[in-house]
Amino acid sequence: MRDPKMTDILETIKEMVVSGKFNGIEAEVQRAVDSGTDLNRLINDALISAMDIVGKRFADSEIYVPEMLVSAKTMKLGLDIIKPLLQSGEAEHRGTIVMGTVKGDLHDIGKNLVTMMLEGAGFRIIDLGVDVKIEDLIDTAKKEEVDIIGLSALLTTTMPEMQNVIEALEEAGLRNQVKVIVGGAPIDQGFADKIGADGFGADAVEAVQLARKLIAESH
Amino acid sequence: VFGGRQGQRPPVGNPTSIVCHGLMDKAGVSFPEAHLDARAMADLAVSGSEVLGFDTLMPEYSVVQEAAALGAQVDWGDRDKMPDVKVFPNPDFADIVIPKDFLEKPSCRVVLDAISILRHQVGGRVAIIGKVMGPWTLSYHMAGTQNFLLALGMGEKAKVTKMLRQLMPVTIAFINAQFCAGADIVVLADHATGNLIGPYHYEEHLLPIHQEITAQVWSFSLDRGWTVTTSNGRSTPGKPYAASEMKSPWSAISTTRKLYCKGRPKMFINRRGMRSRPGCTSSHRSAPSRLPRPLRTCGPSSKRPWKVIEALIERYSIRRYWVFSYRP
Repeated sequence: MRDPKMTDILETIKEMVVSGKFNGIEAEVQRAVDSGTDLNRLINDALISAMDIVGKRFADSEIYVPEMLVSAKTMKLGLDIIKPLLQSGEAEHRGTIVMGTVKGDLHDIGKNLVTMMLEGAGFRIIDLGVDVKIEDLIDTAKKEEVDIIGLSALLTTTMPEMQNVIEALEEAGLRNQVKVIVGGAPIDQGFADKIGADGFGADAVEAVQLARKLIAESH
Repeated sequence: VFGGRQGQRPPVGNPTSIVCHGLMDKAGVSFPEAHLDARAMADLAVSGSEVLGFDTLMPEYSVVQEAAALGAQVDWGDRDKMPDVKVFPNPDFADIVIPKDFLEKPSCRVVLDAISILRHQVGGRVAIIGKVMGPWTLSYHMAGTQNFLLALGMGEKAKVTKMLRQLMPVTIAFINAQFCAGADIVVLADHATGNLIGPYHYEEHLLPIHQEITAQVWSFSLDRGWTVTTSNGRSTPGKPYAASEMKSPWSAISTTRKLYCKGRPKMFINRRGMRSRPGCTSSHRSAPSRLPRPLRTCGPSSKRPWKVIEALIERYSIRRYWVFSYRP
C-alpha cells in the first residue's frame, strides 16, 4: 500500500519539474531524501515520470524547446542531489547510449534535448557533442560497452554520414552488439530503413520510447 | 526587380544559399574564401545564375557575418563545413556594444563589396539578393542558442528583450547598407523557427521588434528592394503568424504617418489611396490630400491597397517608386 505522505512528496516534485520550478527543486528533493523517501522511487515516480509528461506536452505542441529546457534543467538539479546518495549498483541503469551529431554538422539543440530526456529516463549517456568523427563513435562503443548509438543531423548534406557510421560498425564487427537510432529535422523512417538503422525518433519523446523498446528487446 | 519587363517565362529565384561542391568546382571558388573575399563571394554567387540558371543570386552563404563583426569568435569552416560561432561573446547577457565601424568590419564589408561588384556585373539582368540576420538569430550567436532559449524558458524577459533591442540596430543598418550597395531584395533571416519556439514566444518577444525593423528600413523600393523574412514562428490553428497574415508586419504594404527615407520622393500614397507631397527628405508627417475623384473611381477599393497603388502608378506614369511599411 502506498504511503500518502510519500505520494504527496513525489507529486510535488513531479509538478515542479513539469512546470520548470527550478529554484526550489533542490530543497524539495533534499526534503524528500531527509524524510526517507526511497531514492529509486524518487527518480522513477517523480523525476522520470515528470519528464514523460513534459515530453508528451512537447510532442503535442503545448510547450516548446524553451520550456522543455527548463524542465530538463529542473530535473537535472534534482538528480544531482540524489545520484551521490545512491550506492554502487543501486541506480537502475537502463542501458548505455552514446550520443552525437554527425561529422560536418554543428547543430546540437535536438541532440541535447534527446540526451536530457534519455538521461531523465534512466539511461547512462555519453555525449560526444557535435561534428563527431566516426572513429570516436567506434572507439567509444568498444570501450564503454554501449547498447545504443544515437545519431543526430540537421542538414541534408550530413545525413549520409549516418550510413557511414553503420558501415563502420559493421566493418569493426560491432553491428550486432550496438543498435543505431537516428533523428533530426530531415530524417524520416524511410531514410532510417534505407540506411539500415534500428530505429528513428521524430522527437525526444519518440527517441526515449525507441531506446526503451530496443533495450528491452536486447535483454 | 526587372524594371517591369516581362520575359518569356516566369523568373525563378532562390533566396537561400545554393552552394554545393559541384558549384564551387565550376566557379573555381571554394569555402572558406567565398565567405571572406568579396571577389570570390561574387564569383560564386554568379555561378548560381550562369551555371544553375536562376534569375536571382545571393552572395552571402554563412549566417555569422554580423556575429563576427560584433566580436564572436568564428570558425570559418572549410569546403565541407559551414562557418560557426566557437565562442559566444555575451553568454552572461551583458550589454552589447555595437562598434561604430560595424559595417566596415571585414566580415560585413565583404558582403557589401560583393553586392556592389555584382551590381556592376549583372545588375538589372539578375536579381541580387542580400541577406541579414535578425535580432533573434544574432542573439543565438551572441549568447549561445541553448543559453538564449533557456533564458526565454526561465521567464527572464528583461534579459531577452534587452538583447533583442540592443541587436535590432545591427539588423536595420545592415539591411539598409545592402540596399545601398545594390541589393534588389534583402532576406531577413531570423531563426525563430517553429521547431524551437511557439507562436506565443514570437508574439511576445519578436513581433514588436519585426514591426519596428519594418518601420525603420527606409529603402523598400519596388524596382529595387523588397525585404522578405524567413521568420514567422509556427503557424498553428488559430494562431497564424505567416507572412501572408496581415498581423505580420511583413505583409503590410502601405505608407502612413511616419516615414524614413533618403532621396527625394515626389509623392506619398497610402493604402487608402491618399497621396501627399513630402515635407522633408528624412521624415514625413504631413497630412495626405484626397485623390482626384476620377482616379478613385477607377481604382479598386481600399481593401486592396496594392491595386490602388498600381492605379496611381499608372495614372501618374510613375517610373520609380518606393513602398514603405507602416508603424502600427
